[in-house]
Amino acid sequence: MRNYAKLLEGKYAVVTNGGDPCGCAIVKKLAMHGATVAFGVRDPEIGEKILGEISDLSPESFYLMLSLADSEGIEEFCRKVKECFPLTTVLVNNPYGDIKRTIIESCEEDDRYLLQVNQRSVMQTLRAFYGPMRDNRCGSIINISSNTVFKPVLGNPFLTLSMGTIGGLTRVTAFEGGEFYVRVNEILSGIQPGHSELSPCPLKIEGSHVEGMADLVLFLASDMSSYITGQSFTVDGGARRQLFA
Amino acid sequence: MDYQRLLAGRSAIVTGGVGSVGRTVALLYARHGANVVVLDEDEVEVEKIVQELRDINQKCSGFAGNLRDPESIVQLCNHAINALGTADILVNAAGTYLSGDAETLEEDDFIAMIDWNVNSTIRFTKAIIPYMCDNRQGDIINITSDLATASLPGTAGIAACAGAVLAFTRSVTMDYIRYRVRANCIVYPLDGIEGRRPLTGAPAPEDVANAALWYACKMSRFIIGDMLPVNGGMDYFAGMRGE
Amino acid sequence: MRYDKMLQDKHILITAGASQIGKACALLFASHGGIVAIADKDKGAGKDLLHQLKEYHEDSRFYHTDLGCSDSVKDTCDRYLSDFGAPDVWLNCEGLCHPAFIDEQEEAPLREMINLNTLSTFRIMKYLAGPMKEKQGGAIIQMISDYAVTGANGVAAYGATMGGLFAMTNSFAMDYAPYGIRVNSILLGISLSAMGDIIAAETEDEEAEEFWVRTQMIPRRGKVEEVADTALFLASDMGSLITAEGFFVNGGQNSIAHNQHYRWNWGAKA
Repeated sequence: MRNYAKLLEGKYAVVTNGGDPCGCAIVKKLAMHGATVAFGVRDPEIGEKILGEISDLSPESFYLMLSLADSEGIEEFCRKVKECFPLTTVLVNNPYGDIKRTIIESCEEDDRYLLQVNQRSVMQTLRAFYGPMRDNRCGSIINISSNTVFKPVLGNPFLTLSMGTIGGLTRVTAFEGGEFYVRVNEILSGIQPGHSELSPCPLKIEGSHVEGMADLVLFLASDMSSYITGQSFTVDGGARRQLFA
Repeated sequence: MDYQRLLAGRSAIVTGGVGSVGRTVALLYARHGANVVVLDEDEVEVEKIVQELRDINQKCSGFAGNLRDPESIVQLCNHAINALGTADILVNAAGTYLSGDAETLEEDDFIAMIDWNVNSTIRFTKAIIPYMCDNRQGDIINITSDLATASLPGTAGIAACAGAVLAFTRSVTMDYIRYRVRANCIVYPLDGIEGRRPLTGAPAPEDVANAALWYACKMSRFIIGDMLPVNGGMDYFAGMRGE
Repeated sequence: MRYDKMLQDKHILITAGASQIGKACALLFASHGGIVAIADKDKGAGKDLLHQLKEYHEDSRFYHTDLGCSDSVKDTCDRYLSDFGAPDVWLNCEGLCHPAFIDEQEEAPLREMINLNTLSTFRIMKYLAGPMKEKQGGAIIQMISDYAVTGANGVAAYGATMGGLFAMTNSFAMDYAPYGIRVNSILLGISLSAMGDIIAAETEDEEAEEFWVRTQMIPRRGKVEEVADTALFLASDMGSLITAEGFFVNGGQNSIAHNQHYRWNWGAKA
């Protein structure tokens, strides 16, 4: 039987953004299950802190400085990771772009920033890591977007715009990768970028919200979900299916 | 296409034609030139709506019978086909709804609700679809609650019926589209379920009827297995301004 | 949470769980420390499975139940509640399929499908909802065919019963979310549902192979263990944020736009 205590034993994982509460929980969870993790952070202090916590569990894990707004920086990040890891089998895209401005208040600069952070960064990492995964017939890609794609929130059009494209990209990549055993799934997260709690939802939840998110990432990264691909999972405590009355 | 008379000369069967939505659909179809037959349970009410329909189009008629019994449904359909000669459009608008969660809703009520909503839709479709296949054309429009895709507390039975009708629509259209029989679904918020929606106010029966007209006419001839929510964008609504 | 004992000492009720998916789930849940009770119509298979479950936990039970019959369901629920109290996890694997085109749909199979697929869940929920509410927590998982949300040939009535079940499950999720009860469904692809068995039984291997390749992203038939893993995720605290969600375990079938190019033909219609 599968070893459920070490679901990712011996695997190499990449998390593009380990800096926010969610990304941090994901990195720790993957490391706890035996994966060697490479993750990007914007603040080296956070990187060191996470590394300190996971160094016992996976000593070879490391972080790199990465701003998703910098497209050359992402290329650099992918290159370095590929040098260090023999084969990356888990890729977690956790973009964080969020600008709370209405359509009228916003400017072109905002568009460029958000599209780079939330869209292009995903495309770039896919380009870098999908090929080797396909060649080796093994891989799981998890793209985290926002549940505002289905339930828009007023005053935040750009989050919806930039995250909305991730679903389509996920399904196309999953279609392409299906026969090569590369699985691609999307998580529509109810935890908005930078937050550590879900937006208000009907479900009474005990325990940490970011842990719950990390558990779903673990499920999708591991072989537990070996027949699941091209899907979008909503993690929002049931808010998506609730009619507001 | 004559946009004043979109359904000129076509024969339509409207089940549940006494209810506010079914009635509005029947009248709108008649105004657009269709020969309409309404089917429902209450004889007196059916007679009233037939009078109204005949003021618009002499060829309209109506029949009363039990909509929960398979044999009675076959009989009603035979009457309707005899009156119309054929069937081009079937609107399943019959339905009754009771709220309640698993604990408060009685099993018998739930079974009755499935009979009213789901089984009647399946049975009417079964009875009418052979005529549509013979004609190599036909439009089926199922009208149900918008709880098919989004939920509220205390609506388990309604949601089950609505979800079933929606899934039925999708599958049945796959089977018969080779005969050019289309099926589509309209969902709308039921009376008494008030929600805060981006478009304020509740939809009128006319709003649902207009959608039913669009699905019945040639304008939508390339749309199959589709769901149209006539609910002011309610299920897309996450937060109020400033939240 | 210990990931190798995710359901330690949890009370689990699996209805229609004596064979196939239900069986795989029962054994996996038991190996994770759960105390599993099975309710099923098949006495022989149930007894066999109970024998295996007893090796994991002495308290495992088997209840002979006809889910299509109100009295039998009430009896089983009463016995379960008096034996264990409210369950922490209730998993329902009931699913009956009589494929037919709608103009050939007989009245009897239609009634049977509605009775077993849609009504059975409602009945069980009636008896379990109250106690689970008092317990302030728990997970409910429904196995559903993905015809609940996609269209396919020859399954209009079956799809309708499943679509009703899916919508009802989501409605239950809203009813009991404030009490911390999570209600989710697993949407099984054709290869894992009853239809998959029919295809496997009625066709040559090569033809079936081609069908999986043409209609799914992952070009093979699914395994029941893969469904069990997903059920484990939803049943355990791993899925603590997730309610009113449908998990597609179908090899990406529903996301392919043009899989209708290859129509499954039941031989009933030219």
